Amino acid sequence: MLKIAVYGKGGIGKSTVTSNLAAAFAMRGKKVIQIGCDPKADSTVNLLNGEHLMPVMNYLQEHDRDPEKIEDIAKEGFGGVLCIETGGPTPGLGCAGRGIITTFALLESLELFEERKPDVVLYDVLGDVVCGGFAAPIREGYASKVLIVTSGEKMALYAAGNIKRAVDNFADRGYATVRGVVMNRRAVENEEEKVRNFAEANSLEIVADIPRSNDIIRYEDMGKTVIEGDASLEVSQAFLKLADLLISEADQEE
Amino acid sequence: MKGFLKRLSPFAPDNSGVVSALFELGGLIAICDAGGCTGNVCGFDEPRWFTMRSAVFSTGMRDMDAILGRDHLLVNKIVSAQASVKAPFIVLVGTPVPAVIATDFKALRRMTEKRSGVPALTIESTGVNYYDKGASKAYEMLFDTFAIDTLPVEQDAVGIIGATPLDFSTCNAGKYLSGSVEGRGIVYGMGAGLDEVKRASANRMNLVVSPSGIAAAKLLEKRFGTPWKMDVPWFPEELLALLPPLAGKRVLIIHQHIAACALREKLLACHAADVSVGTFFMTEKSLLQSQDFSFKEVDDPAIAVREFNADVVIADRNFKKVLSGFNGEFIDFPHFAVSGRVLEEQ
Repeated sequence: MLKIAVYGKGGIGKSTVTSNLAAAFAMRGKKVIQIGCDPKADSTVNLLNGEHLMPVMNYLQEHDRDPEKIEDIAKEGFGGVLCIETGGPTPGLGCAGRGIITTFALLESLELFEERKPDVVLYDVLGDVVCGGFAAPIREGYASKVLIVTSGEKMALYAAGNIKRAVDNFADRGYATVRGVVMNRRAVENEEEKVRNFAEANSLEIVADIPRSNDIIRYEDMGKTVIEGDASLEVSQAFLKLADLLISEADQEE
Repeated sequence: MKGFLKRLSPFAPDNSGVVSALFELGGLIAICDAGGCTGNVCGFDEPRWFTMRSAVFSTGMRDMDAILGRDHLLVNKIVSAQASVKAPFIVLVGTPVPAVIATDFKALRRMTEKRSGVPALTIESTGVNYYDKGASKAYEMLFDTFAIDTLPVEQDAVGIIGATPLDFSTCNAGKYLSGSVEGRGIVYGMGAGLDEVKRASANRMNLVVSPSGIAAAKLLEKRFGTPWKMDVPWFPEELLALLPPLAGKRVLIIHQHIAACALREKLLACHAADVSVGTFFMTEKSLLQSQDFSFKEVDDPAIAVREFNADVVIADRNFKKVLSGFNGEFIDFPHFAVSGRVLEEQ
């Protein structure tokens, strides 16, 4: 089972990258689960025709008891991708990290992986590794690989560096390792050079180069990923290429 | 307010269950808290604390430990305590603070084992579940870690899993349960120590005496093929003496699920008209009958009495105060996880 966590600065396009990657894996015949780990709970919206899924935290608040089956908190989207959103508290209240931990414990008790037997699990994680809860997706038993999404913008690269350092700090704990950088282009001057310099300085590989594309916005307005919208587009091909790379690596590891 | 047990003292939490299951096994037990949970465990939920030695410590967590997640300091402290106690293994017990700050117990296990050189059991209790869930996790991890070798089966060996003072309300339960089975009753955590845990594969069968023993029994069945069943072979004589006059009566039993169901069989053998069981704790589906109850709220036992039209209630006497409107016979069946030392002291 290939388990990947996607991190990066807020607003850099993590959910776009994750859901397109999920759709790309699905296009390759893989059974995929995508878990949005963000209180905004909008990670999977473009796999679900623009529909928002009830987050696990909302379910628990509304029903005041644990769900009895996975279907109570999950929905199948494009290509059969099983979508789950942790959700979280109103901004400024409670503890979003605790929400992630609670969701993971719940998914474990529902035997999600044993029951669904996915080929790929993608965790779309809010921003930085700010606390224990947001490190949960890269702990033992969860993701084994981390993808860092960044553009050539200074603050995005700064956040990417922080994420790399945080993951490296966990080396003695058996956590995931950073597989590489997904360059999500934002039309920044000398963008490729800036991202390449960052990757080199941090001994990281750029595993995907996602071109700036209005098609992403166009299809997102329709509640779709570009993969679903038009798999032949250059931008769609970039996601498919990344999926192929990760699949071939996983096959080799097995 | 849902789940608020007004009129009842709080039930023993899962961290108390962990300590109770492992108290006698000789490990260094470190409760990851500021001190209050350890005080509760040692002062209220663990009657053996006053009569038997066991290395139970609080890690003394402070505000900055929680804010900064200083796991390395925690590991230093535990390794240093281990060097002085020289325990054969270490237990880290979760409480509400580690649960809220998302302490990674798997990583702590890895770090502690590497530094100390002895096995570590890290039990993610949260303080918000009841004792049986904690005990269940503790037994499961205990056998998973130490019951490794496959030994020849000894025909007289019967493992007894799930016995704690919280379930059986006496520190002598190990002796009583052991003496009530055919063959050599090995009561894990109440008489039988770590060496017997390591030899668990030699058991002819395992007897599960509370729901907290089920997960461990399933693990041993999977690992060694050891068959298991659920039953309680011993009840206090004074309780058994009260059963024959209940012939023809409708009886509601409130206790931990396996004990309540075993007592039901005894009552039916005494010709009780019908018997229902109810519990606030873990239920085992295969033992449930249509007239049984799973309680969540403080008023649920009174509702059960009315719905079942019970003539007699057998329960810890702490429950008496929540049975409003019940005028039938009440028989005390102590459950230490429910009343602790509150009623003893009265």
